[in-house]
Amino acid sequence: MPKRILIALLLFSGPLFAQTKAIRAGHLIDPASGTVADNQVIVVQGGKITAVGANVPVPAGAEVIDLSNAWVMPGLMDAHTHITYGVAPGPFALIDNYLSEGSGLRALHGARNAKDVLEAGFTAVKDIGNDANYAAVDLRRAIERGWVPGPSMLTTGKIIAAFGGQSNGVPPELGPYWRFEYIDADTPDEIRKAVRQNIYYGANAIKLVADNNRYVYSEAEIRAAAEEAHAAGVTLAVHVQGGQAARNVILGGADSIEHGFGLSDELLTLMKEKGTVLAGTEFPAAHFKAMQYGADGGAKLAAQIVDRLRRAYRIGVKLVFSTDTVVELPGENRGEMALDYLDGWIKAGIPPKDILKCMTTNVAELFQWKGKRGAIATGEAADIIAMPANPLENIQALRKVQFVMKDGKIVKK
Amino acid sequence: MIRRLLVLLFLCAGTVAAQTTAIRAGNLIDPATGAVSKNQIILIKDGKIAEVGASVKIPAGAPVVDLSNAWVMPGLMDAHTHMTLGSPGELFLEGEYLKSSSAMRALNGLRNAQAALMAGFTALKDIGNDANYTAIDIRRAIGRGWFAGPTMLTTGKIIAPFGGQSHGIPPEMGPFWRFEYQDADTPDEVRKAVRQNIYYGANAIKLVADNSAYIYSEEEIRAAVSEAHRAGITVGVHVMGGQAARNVILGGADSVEHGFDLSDELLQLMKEKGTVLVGTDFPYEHLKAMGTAGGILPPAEVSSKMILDRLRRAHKMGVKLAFGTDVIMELPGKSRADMMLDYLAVWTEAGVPPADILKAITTNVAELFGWKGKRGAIATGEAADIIATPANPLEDIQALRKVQFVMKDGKVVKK
Repeated sequence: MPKRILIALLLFSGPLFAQTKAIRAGHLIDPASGTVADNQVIVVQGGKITAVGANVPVPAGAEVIDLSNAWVMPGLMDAHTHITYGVAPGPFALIDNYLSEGSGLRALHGARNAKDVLEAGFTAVKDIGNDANYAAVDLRRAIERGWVPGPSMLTTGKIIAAFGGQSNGVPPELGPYWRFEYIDADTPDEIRKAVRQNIYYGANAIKLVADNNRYVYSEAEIRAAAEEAHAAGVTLAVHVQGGQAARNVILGGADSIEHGFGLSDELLTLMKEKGTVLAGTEFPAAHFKAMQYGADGGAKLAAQIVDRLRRAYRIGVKLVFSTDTVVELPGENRGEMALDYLDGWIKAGIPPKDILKCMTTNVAELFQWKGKRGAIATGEAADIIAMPANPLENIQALRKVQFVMKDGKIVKK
Repeated sequence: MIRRLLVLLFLCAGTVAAQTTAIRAGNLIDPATGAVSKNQIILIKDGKIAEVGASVKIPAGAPVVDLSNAWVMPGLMDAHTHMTLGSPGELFLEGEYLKSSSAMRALNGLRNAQAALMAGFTALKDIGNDANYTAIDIRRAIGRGWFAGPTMLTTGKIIAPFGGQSHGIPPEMGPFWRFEYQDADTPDEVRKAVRQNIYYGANAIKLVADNSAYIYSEEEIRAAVSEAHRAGITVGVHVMGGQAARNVILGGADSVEHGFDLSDELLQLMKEKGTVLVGTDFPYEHLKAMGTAGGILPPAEVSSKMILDRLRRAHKMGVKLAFGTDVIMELPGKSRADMMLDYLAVWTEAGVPPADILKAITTNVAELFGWKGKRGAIATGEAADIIATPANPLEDIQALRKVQFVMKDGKVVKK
């Protein structure tokens, strides 16, 4: 028992095990190709994978991890999370929780969620904003320092949007209340400065909201953000539902569209041509219901999202798994709620092997991690999970992740 | 292994098992008296101790924790911590403001609080320097069951005369120290500052009385005390000695923090008034690593002798002592808990017997915290904050460095 406690403590104290580990993987899934190789040995040293193969010898003195009866694959990734955000079920208003949780508490809230998603098998996530005063950036730093356990993170910092952010109806007396989480940017120049502000405060990805107001961002405004972000080596994600705003986002050069619930076939085809990734945040109906979304509790919208996903898949748009949990369902932790989003993918008829690719390979590519994370191959970070059943047969097998390794350290066993 | 993970997971999910748990305690220490009872049974239900005794019956089906070879006692308590502060090397507090946001400080404090709990500290007071009330956020997060951690008192922003504990900040920078201090320079301002802290969630109050060229008057101390006591909470005051300490004691503070320079006469006055000494008895190596903060603090050789001598005298005179640490930096290779336990050696060097140290690290802190009958003893109705060590701390207090078992509010945190 003291040994097991030690593992838990090490997560907090940060020292890296220099010891070599060898995993005996009964069934090793390559999500990029959807193929399975049986009886593989994975050697891990210094947080990275140093060898993989059927005939790889186990180095002398290595700690052997027996997963010979399990299905082993790279860690899951979620391209759209609000890790520091979480409110109880009820009519959803984004800014309500500004009055209930300060930046310190939001960071701690995020630390709790980060631990839960990691233990569910998510070894990387993008935090797409709504993190109070850059609390997700701090959470990322704390995880990198080994203070608290959590996934690798991209963090966007404050969301850049037209005047008012995603708030509605704040009385003028209260001033720009939404600036707790949004930067007002209403010209291409203001957008450039907003991108630079985020990067200064530690963002390593950028998020814009293009059409949550009566006016939409122009192509020139999107391009300003894309150019500025790309100049700093980071990617641009834009919240947009469809129509002219989505066209501006695609033509302006955004790397991904977030949500896109109203995308037409024509726009999906344009995305495919331009290589724009769809982070479709396919909300489960139960989540909409808990948010009391619209007059019908979001039932119609949930069905519309499934249809959009089906069309996007058929057209061949590059898809990434993305969630967007902001309301906390009783009895479920953040990891379980993330996996609830599989429902939409199943309903849209996407085969398990393509879902797996969208939860690993495609996200890693969007995150610009090709060759670094997202595959079980020599030189990649050792972010490895395992489960007792085959997710290529039933994707719900992902709900039973039994083993999680993050950067070579065992987090769950 | 999965079972053990579950134990850890439960801590975060906040689930409380309603069932009864039993502990077989081979040697049960009562730190209030220093007495040991052999072969006791402790029953725990709903986070509290339901029964204790040699012939208590274990209900059928109750899980039993076997500590029949161990020394069992209430959880340790630290009356003076800065959980969210951790500067590497030479002390320069203001520099930390530029390196760590409130959110970062909260996360650092979480890490330290978890380390403290795992080492056996089931309660502590965070005495300020927590950026924008982040120790309060940690207390709330623990209270919501997001994480396992000690029960905390938190003081919020430290109330002090203009400038807080900063020195020489250029005027161009404005009141930079307000990141962690409230300027309060009259009794009325002190009252308002107490109210601000309570509004933002403080459940204890901290003043600094003599870290400036001027000191708080008896009247100013009394303003803070009457305001805090009216809200049902205590006041701890940073003061070294002399007239300032006299003002603090006569003004009615519940505890003197530090008091490195207290004369026998002032110690006698504390004893008479019932003022607790939270002496933050720094080990020499810590003082050495902290440096003199650019000549503001005395050299380690000087202060370490002062501290030792004052602790020896205070103990001899019978001043009520509470274990308090004051770790604010990080030493390589040591967790926050390791550094807190480093202070035990100073108590031993000052000639304080293990039984008295144990009382100062449990019973006395619980009383200072206003928890008599609630926490700090293994007795019916008390919170089940229980630790165990393989060796007898009454023989060698260093046995506390090897805590093997920690139960917090009835939940097993370490086993």
